[in-house]
Amino acid sequence: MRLLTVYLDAVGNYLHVRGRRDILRELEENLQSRIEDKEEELGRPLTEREQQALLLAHGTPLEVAARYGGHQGTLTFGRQLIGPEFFPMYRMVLVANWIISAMIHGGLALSRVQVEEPKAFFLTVVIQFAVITAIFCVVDLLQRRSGGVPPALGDNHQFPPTYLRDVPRWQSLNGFLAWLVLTAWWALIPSYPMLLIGTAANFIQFSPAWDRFYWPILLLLVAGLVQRATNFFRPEWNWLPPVTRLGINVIGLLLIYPIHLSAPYFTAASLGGPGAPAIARVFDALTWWVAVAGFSFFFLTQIALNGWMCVCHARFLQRQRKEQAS
Amino acid sequence: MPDAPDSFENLRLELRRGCLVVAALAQLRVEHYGYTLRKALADHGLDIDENTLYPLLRRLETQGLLESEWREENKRNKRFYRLSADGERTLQLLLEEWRGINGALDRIIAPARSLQGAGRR
Repeated sequence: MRLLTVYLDAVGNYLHVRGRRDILRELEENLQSRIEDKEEELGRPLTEREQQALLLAHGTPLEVAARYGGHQGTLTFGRQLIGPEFFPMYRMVLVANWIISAMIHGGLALSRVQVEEPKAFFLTVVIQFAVITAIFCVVDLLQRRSGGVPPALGDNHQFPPTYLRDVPRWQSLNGFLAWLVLTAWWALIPSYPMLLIGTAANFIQFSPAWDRFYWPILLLLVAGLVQRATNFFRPEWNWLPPVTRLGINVIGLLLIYPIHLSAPYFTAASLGGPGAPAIARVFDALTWWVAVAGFSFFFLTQIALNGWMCVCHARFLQRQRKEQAS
Repeated sequence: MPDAPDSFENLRLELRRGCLVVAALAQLRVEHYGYTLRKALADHGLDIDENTLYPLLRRLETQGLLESEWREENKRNKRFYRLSADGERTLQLLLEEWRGINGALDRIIAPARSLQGAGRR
């Protein structure tokens, strides 16, 4: 009955909280009766493929939910900007961003490291709303232009949903190789600074601040490697990527603040010549923009996406436990 | 020009929609759960899609025309529906209305048929 649970879970994603449990119970009862009837007719249990066909004939999760008065909403201003397929994820990403911003601003205000004005917080909230909404509108528009709903969210071919499928081995292998190159590159930087700063390594050198975050970053990269290697041997551990990546990105985000405080990141080399301090300042600014500004956004997005995946897994597990208990 | 099969399908669905409500209400004079109700309707020649039936039952219950109760049968919890007192009254009114429409339609269709027959001769 794993597939049935997955199917109901997918339908539940699109239903309003009110009445959801009742609808799913009834749907479950009906589908179980259908499966049993079919099994009686064939005189044997249904294979997984046959169960899948039966469930798909019943309708895609989005279609089924829509019959019960719909989905969890859309974003519409005159015309629909974000459809029901993307809306739950959009809402989740937006709320996660707001919560994290509130935590950061609240933390800074409480620790009195930096005087935080409410205006700054509200400006962040508005910017996040504008950027995230714009991104989802574009994704939704492109998806519709390319001919329909995103496969992961509503198409017949994507049942069971991606997050409950085995992690393909080719994906783990590709990821592992790419991550291995990245980890090796980072590991070699202290010995070969030119891998990071090119020929500027002749004029500037790393400041002692690097020691504070070099090892934590290396450990995070190794954690990514271990996750991919594990999934190569255990593809059925589909919960491992979102859980590991959520952890890695949360720690990454937490590292941003010490990185921000660690500036300057480069100093002039003893034989760097008179232009070396200016080069160090340019690389400092670049590092700040990439590490602090760029990666903050990257980590926040990844936290929201992987957090959403973890929520989906947790809900699925909870449902499975209830089913076993009953 | 509208696509003929498409417009027929739309009109057919429109025609069926009201009839399904009457059929479901009438069938639920005897208690059923969703799955057996669907089978009972199908046995009488009225196939109804599950994704139409279940939301319809919920809607009729919200309107107070049906009552439901979760009960165990064959070691499984099932939701049994039956017609409420309000539902019975509404069903009577709907049946009267339906008979009226049916009679009127017969009277409209019969002369048209005889005209067609005369035309052929």
